[in-house]
Amino acid sequence: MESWDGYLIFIAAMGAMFFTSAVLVLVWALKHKQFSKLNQGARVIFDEEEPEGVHTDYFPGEAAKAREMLAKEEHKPLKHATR
Amino acid sequence: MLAFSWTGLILSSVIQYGSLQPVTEFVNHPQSEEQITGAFIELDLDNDGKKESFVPGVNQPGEQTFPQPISGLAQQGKEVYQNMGCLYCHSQQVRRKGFGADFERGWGDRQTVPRDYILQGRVLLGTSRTGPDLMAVGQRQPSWEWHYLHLYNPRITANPTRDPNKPDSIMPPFRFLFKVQKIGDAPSPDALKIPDNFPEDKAPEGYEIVPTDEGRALVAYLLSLKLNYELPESRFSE
Amino acid sequence: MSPLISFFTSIDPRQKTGVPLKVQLSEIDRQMRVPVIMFLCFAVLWLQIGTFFAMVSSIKLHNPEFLGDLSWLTFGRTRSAHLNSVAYGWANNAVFGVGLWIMARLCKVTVRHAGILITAGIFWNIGVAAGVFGILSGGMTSIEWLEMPMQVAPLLALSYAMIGVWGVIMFRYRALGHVYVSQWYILGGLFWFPWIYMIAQVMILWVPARGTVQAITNWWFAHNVLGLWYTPMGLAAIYYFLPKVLGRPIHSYYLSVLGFWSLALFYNWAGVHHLIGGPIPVWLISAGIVASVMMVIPAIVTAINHHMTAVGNARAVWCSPTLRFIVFGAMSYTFASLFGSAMALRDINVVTHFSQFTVGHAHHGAYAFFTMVMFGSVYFMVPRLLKREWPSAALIKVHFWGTAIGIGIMLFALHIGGWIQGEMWNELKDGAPVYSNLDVSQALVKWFLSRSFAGILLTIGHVAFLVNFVWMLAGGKSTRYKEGPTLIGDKEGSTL
Repeated sequence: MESWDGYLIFIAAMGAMFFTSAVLVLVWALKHKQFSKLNQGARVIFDEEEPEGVHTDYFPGEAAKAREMLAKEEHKPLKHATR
Repeated sequence: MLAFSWTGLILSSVIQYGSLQPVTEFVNHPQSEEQITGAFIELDLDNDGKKESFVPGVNQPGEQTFPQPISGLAQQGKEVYQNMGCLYCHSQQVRRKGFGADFERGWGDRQTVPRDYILQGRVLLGTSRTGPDLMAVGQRQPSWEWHYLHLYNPRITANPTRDPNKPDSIMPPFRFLFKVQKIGDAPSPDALKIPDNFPEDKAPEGYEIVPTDEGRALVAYLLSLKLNYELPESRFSE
Repeated sequence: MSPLISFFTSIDPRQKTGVPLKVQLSEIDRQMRVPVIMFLCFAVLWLQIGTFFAMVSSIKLHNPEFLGDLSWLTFGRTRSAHLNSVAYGWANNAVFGVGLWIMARLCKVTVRHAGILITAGIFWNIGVAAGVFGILSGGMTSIEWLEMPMQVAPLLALSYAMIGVWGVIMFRYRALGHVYVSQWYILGGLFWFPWIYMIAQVMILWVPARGTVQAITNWWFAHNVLGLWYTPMGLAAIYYFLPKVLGRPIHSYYLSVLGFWSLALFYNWAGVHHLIGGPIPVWLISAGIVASVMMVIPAIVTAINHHMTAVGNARAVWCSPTLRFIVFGAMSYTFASLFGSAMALRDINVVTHFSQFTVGHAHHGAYAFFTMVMFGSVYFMVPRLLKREWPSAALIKVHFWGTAIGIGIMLFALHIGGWIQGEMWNELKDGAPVYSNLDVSQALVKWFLSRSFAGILLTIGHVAFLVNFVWMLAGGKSTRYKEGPTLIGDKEGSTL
């Protein structure tokens, strides 16, 4: 354990580096307006094939039945529906 | 964020432990192989031209210091302890009196503190107590024979009469730390004396069960686990 | 152009401009198919191996003579082989597959040099196999979550670097616009994991720190690997699949972003609560307790968000294999987090700390939350990657019920049994312990038996999953587009 000091400096440098990078990322996110227009941001997961408002996963072989059932169920309008 | 916690959590404790050293009273034995730099001064006390190192005001050269590093067979036994995974059911730490019942269970006469562990190459605190704590098992069970029997089949020592109404051990057996061999001119001194209640564990006529080197080392390690010294920051009955 | 520059150009995974999004996405799925399916194959395989070791360990706890004469299969080794198989084998491979696929889809880019990714993935799994072999054959380190012999660490670290870097490359070349919260989680996890892994390896094994600093580092790692690696990946998958399958955006996207940053801030301090009462400085423990309690914030935030998104859609959740698992996982996340915070309080910790309660909690987080979410993700991804339906709905249901009921029983047994165990250890009368050591371990037997029973149910679920998965890979055309892709919208003649 003679080289504690060098070891400490190395670790401290690594720590400082990571801390700085975390702050930079936060600053970057703020600068690039990542925190504005969040309502639109939440919709980036949808696309033409799997658009908003469409259920996209069923048990194999049970899709038709499930769709029918879901359609029958009184369906509340989607809260954020845009279309 | 992570870096922040890293520096906060580990680095600061490293620094704190580091700054403990100069005031360390019991750590550096002059003859110990594991010396901590900065913890003692060097002086030529007996005027033989060679300087001795010691902690001023506390340790005199030749005086025993604590904690003591384990060595030899016990160190080999620690490797067995590690690779068998004893730690997953047995801890090595004593919590303070009033926080749990570690003290009352006789697992140690005082709380363990960071200094108890500084000479250990690998620290095996453990986080599970499916079985009892082993910080001071060498004091609680100082018998080689007991440990051999217990490792060979924990049921032998837990419930020697095989009384179904009594609680039994759920510890796995470690028979692979023993070997069966033909009795030579005389029985080996460390041959197991399996009680008559456990006929299935007995060796055939003319044979004996003795610990392997690994088994012997493991028991040496277990017997080396003692909490029979005080530290300035943790006195007995604390 | 120098070779170096041409290499950097060649990893640029951006799509050519002017290509319709639909074509882009199908191109992404096509290019990601081989590496992602490979990771999932390894994951499913390790899951079975891990389950095997789990069963052996579980039986040993109530029948200590079971396989008792084999040093390779002594309890300490099998439980560690179990942990490392499921953590570094199952969970990490699942994360690589699921995380990279979500990343590619959200960044709308793909991996150009899939060969490097595949090679690295193979080496990762060689490393894990060598590590588990090392544990069984006597090279175990006895450092929790880092049991593998230190010699495999460089291989794992290098392989990881070659895998994780693709997530970063994808992020770097992502399509412009909003960075979705799942991308933040995945990117964070990809950075955090190697960092904590290497620090822990170095400070405990390669250049060991002195004394109980090792233990602090150990729990800083072991808790963060759950909280800053598996948790973000699980949450990323929930935040992607839950709104995606339901077809409605997350209830409050603002809260999800808040959840990410608060997780990043608080979680990493929390690990020391594994050392409460132990030989480390008291202020450190206090810091760990405060951080653990602060974890209530992201847990509540996430819980509200998931609940509000899924509420009113119970039937839709029930009709989707993906969501059955994912909603189960999301609910478990909330409970596991709240339990975890409570367990850090000194009064509760004094009972739960060394007991099976902790083991139950670990499975609450790692299985009921993380693993269930990964199951759900696999059910969504594989049909899209292979353009094929799951062969058997019945097997999916067996998988769901086996694992859901199994983990339910197991958590019940370990939490209740663990609490009783902790109380028995501590119980004093006139300053003397009421129960002997043997009383305490004997009292555990019935709970251990329940756990083994739960393990059988889990095993049934996992085998059903394996059969369905292998059938899916080998299935071929018979199951392709059986009744129109239930999952892939109205392409190719769906009835929608």
